[in-house]
Amino acid sequence: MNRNRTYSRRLVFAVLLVLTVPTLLAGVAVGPVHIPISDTLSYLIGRGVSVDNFSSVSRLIISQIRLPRVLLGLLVGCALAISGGTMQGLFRNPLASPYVLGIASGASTGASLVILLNLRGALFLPLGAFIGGLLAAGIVYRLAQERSKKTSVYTLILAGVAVGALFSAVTSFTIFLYSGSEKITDVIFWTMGGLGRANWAYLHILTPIVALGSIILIAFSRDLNALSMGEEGAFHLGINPETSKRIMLGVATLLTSSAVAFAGTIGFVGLIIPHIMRLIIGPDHRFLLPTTAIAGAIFLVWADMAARTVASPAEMPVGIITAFLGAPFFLYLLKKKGARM
Amino acid sequence: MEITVDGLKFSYNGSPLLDGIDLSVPKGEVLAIVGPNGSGKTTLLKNISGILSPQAGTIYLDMTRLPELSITELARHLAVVEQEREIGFDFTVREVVALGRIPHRGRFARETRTDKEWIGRAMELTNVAPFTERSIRELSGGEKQRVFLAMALAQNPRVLLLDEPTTYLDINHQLQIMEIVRQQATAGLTVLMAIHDLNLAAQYADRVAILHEGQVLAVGRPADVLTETNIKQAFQTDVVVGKNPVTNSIYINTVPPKLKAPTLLGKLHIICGGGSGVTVLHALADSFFLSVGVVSPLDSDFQAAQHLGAKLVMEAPFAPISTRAYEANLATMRSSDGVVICETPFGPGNLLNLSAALELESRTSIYVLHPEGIEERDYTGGQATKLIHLLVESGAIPVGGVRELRKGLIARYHDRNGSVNRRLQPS
Repeated sequence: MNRNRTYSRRLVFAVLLVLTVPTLLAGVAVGPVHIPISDTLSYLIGRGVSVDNFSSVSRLIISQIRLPRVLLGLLVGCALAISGGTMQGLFRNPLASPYVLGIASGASTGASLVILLNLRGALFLPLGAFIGGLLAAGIVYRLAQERSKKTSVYTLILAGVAVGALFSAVTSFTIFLYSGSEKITDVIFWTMGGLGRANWAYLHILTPIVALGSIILIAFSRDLNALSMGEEGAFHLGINPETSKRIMLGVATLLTSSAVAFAGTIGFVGLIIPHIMRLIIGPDHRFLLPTTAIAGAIFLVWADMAARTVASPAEMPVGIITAFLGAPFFLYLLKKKGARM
Repeated sequence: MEITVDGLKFSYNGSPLLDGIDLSVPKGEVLAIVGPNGSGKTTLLKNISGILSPQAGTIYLDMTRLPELSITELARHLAVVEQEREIGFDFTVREVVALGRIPHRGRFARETRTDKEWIGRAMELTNVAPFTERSIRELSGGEKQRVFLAMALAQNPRVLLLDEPTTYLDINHQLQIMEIVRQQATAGLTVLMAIHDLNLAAQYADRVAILHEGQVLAVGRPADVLTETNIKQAFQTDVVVGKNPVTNSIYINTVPPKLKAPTLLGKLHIICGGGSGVTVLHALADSFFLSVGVVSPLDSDFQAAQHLGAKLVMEAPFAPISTRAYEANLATMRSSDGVVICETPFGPGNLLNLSAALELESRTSIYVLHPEGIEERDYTGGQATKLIHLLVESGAIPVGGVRELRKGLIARYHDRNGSVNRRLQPS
């Protein structure tokens, strides 16, 4: 069944790369206001090309709303998927994901606190989210490793659920405390997850984080491969397991947290995308991580399009769409793999 | 590359596991470390592989002290195959073998021609090439272990450490692994392996070291080290060391440990014959020292008694009981704590066994099984019946069955003895 892995790897990677173009175009075109693909194309390719019917409204919608939103979707999807793939590799388990491990909840709490405490400055939001996410990751990781040297999967997932619930409670409590404040809609947004607040300022912060983070994770993908032999096995292959794990867990947490900071908690992208990709191209992380990153980006943009159109002109939080797709898949995984892992 | 272990000490939570180990393995040698569970074999290997750090002593690879090597440098020199590895994901065989090239490659480097050659060579050597694209999870234990050996060889190591590499394998796969290792050693690889199977060690190792209580009990050629005395001391097991006629290496045969004699409650003499004693003997053998007489060697009771290790007073087949046998029988009875008379058919040939019982002073320690049925087994014209009745009237205890007999005897002699092995108590 694995006969053509090398072949399929290249094919899948090429297909995914090609797919980003129509994804970008469709993402900009779809929405309550109809904007023809030709307008989108001419905006993207040559701004100066004078087209009569290319109204200034269209231009504004594209440049200030649709394009930032699609780009944010690509970045967030990429960040969530690649950090999910990394965590699954780190914990040698396809059930691990930033969401299941409580990291997203931690980041959400951090971001909410930043908003409610009125900390201004563009970097406070990702920073708060990162601290919250790191805190959650640290607690879960510690709990799961305490019992035995081997990280127990059940302890890991239980700890993740419990820590996630704890952080959600903290978020809810702050919502309750500030229920009179007008900030509250901002905070509620975090708990639902969505790309609706996309703007260029967000993109300026998120783009370098996601680019750099993804490169680091891909650079460590051979360490992930070695770690699938266990920590001692990795050591015998010349990899320092503790250092590698810390770096990868830190970077994955940073990526997840930054994604959460700008788009709220969008679940299941980090769970299903790496898993589907692993089924298609195999577990070699050197190929799995880049492929997963692109697939996650594409998936989230399409999910967001669905969120925008299903109840148009009203807009659904994209987290609902990913949960609708992801939760049944997660249950399927749990049933199929839960016993074996 | 030569491994030198000098004065190695390692303790875990304060209790010393390795207490001053000195060993050296020259280039191209296979050294087998044997020893009972918990003797520190794995701990020693983990110290040499760099997973654990010793509290005292030094390990050298050639002239380099182990801590001077970086993790990557170490992985270029030294590879490890363990007893059992769980691999995290559904890797193909080739992907697993390719992991062995990690220490020789940069983070972003693609597979070079050298990498490909080593991977291919390792797969050829271990004979896993036929299932290159199969998933590692679909393989049997023996195939899997060969894949992990291939991965280790793809590392192009100078030193190979094997920790119980054959424990879960069937005999065919054990030999396959050992043959590959032996071949690599001949080509210059230094091999140190911890192994349970003394015979595999004897057959494939150049030298053997016995680890016992954290120290090297003996090290040297298998025939010099794997002696009955050394094995007895390290493993508390009796063995017989012989020669394997085919390979000419020594061969160790285990001698089943003699079951420790249970606490016996007393001596019983059983009067039986014609198979009437078999069930009685079996029921009582674990709790009593038994003697049987007088019986002939052709009697099935004789064979049962012999099998159970009972003392026998015998007489030639088809011969009447001689005076000598009679006296011997009586003496045995007198030295016993009790006598059991089975449901034996009595004829002129064995009537003297009953007469002997009547000579005993203490009739109350004579047990008679089913005395009421004696008339049907009496082929002496009523003499046997008379003797049985006499016994019972003068205090001998009639019993209705073997179970009741055992229960009664155990209760009686258990009380007398006071404390008794728990398993002997009647359930």
